[in-house]
Amino acid sequence: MEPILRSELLTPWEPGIFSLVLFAAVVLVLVGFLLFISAWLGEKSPNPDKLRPYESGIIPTGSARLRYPVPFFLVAIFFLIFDVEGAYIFSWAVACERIGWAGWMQMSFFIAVLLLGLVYIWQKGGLEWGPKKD
Amino acid sequence: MNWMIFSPEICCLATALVFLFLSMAPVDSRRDYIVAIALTGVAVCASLAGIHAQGELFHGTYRIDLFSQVFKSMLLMGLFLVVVISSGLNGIERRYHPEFYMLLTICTLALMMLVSAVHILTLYVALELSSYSLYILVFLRKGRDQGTSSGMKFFLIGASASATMLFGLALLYGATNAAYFRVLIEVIPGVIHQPEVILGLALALCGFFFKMAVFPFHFWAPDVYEGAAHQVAAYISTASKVAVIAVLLRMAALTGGASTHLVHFLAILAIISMTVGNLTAIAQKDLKRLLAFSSIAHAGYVLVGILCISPQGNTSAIFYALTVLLLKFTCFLVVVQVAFDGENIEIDRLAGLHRRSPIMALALMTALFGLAGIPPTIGFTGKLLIFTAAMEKGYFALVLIAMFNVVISLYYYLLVVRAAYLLEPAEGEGALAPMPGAGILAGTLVAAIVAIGIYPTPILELIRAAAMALG
Amino acid sequence: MIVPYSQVLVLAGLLFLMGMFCLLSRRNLIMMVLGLEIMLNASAVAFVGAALRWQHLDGQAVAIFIIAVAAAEVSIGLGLIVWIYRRTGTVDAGCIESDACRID
Repeated sequence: MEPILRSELLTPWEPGIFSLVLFAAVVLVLVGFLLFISAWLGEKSPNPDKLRPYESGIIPTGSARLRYPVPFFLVAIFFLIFDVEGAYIFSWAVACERIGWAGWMQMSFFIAVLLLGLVYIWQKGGLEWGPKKD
Repeated sequence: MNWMIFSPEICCLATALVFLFLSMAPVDSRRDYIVAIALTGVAVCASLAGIHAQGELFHGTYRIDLFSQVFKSMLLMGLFLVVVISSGLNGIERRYHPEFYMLLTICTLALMMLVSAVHILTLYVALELSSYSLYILVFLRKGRDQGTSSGMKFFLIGASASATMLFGLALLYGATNAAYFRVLIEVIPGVIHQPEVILGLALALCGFFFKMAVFPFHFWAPDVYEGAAHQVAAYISTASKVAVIAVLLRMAALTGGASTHLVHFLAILAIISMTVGNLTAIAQKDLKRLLAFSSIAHAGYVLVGILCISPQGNTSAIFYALTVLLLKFTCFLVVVQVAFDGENIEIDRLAGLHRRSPIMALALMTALFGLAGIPPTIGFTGKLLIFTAAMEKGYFALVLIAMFNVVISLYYYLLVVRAAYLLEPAEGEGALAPMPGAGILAGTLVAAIVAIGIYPTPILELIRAAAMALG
Repeated sequence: MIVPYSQVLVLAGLLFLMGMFCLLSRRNLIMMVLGLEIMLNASAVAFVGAALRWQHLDGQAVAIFIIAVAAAEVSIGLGLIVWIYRRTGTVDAGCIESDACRID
């Protein structure tokens, strides 16, 4: 693979450390000040009704931590696989004209293999959603 | 691009695709078995026909020479043998059989790519592909618990080892600006005294030490062998070991013997893994666990051959790969026959094997004697080659420790042979009914083990030429 | 001006150690897989840094491959975790190891 010859292609990096430090300091001081002021001036009279999570007046029941059903995980996994393959398709698209039909063939093979995977998932019921049909 | 030299890989890929389609068809394990035998047989023939092929593919990142082709033939033979003993695949649920064959062939494809890879990118992708197939294969074990815990351990340790290897490769690339092995070979001896190069090499080797089950990364081996189905364990202990020996040879050749630190590092790992493997094996009751610890010990012996970084050392390591393939497979052949129901077996269950099935007992004895290094088996020749290569480089202490280890190992191998030959069979254990063809296969393997042990010259010539191609 | 390679290396090394720490210290399988991902991405950072250092595209190519391989790895990891959860009802590594908190 050829080296990148035109170095102006690379983003210049000028370390502006002073402005970063100043910005961080201002943020820290401001946040600290607000927290301190509200803790100092605010009146505290906790009771159970006030500590309850606010649900527009409805008293919450059960734990807030629901277990997600397994299909959520499966769909997340499938999405992850097919989504990331975009990285290759995009980089092929950038160089599409230069690599010509050979590159097109390789990309088609790649996408065909991905489609086979999708067919497999479909056929095995990985995309079933909701209650089981008999 | 010359596709003919790529034909063994294409055969493997086609087999995997066929099984992907079969997995979507109705369940029929008999059909799967026959198709698998036929297709892997074709792949073995293709690899043997193309053993003298030469060339480079994919912009020089994939090198095909005698070295890689010899290893590919061994890998495909390992695959074929494992498929042959899968006729009674009772350790894995019936509906997963096509997936089992598919993952097995994909793993073999990846291992074949691994031995041909001469660029860090192809090396990494091939290694990961083979690991991922193996993780799932270990999980496929039938039953509630057996696959789960060991499979999880295998995945976590394996993935962290490969991440470590990748980081090592990144350090090497950052220090040398070389991603092709042929460039690395030229550059590394000059910069080997930089700390980041040493660290990079050591981290990169870690990934392969994991697959090889060398000392600090050996914890997974016994659990995985015990937890995986017999056929999968047989595959891990034969084909996957063979491929890793090839890659370790390539990696060690990178240094060109310029670093004494690295040689010392390898020597220490070799000594510890032999000793740990052999001493722990003595205490084992389960036959597959015993074989796992013996694998760890053998990884130590192979390292002795690899760390010589000389043509003799390389020859001996390649020959030892063939040795391990034949001997370990024969052991697992017997395991599969005796534990036909797919359950694990204690050594005691071998009692009276010579009455129940003389040919299996003979195969087991030959294989174990081979692993212990008793003449006239192939195991003796393999150890002799390794020790001679190490002596030529002047590593006397190392050879002495290895010899001592061989004596220790003899003890537990003899315990197993004693169970098979001297103990009486338990009540109600009738004659063993081996699956069709197993007797012939066992006989062939015994003949091969002894024949190559007595007259290794033709194979040794081929392997010597392969070791030269590595250079 | 380009970021000095040594600083990229320090960043990558720190990320790698953080990932390893996460892998070794957590008991939850999902967090362990997360640690693995961080280790892989640390290597990707090191590769990209090296590619910048040498003005050479090989490192960038490796980084793109690492993204996809890491996605495959996390898919397999999550798939195995779902399988483990269905069988044992827990995603705690210690529980699975010792059979301590089995539900049945």
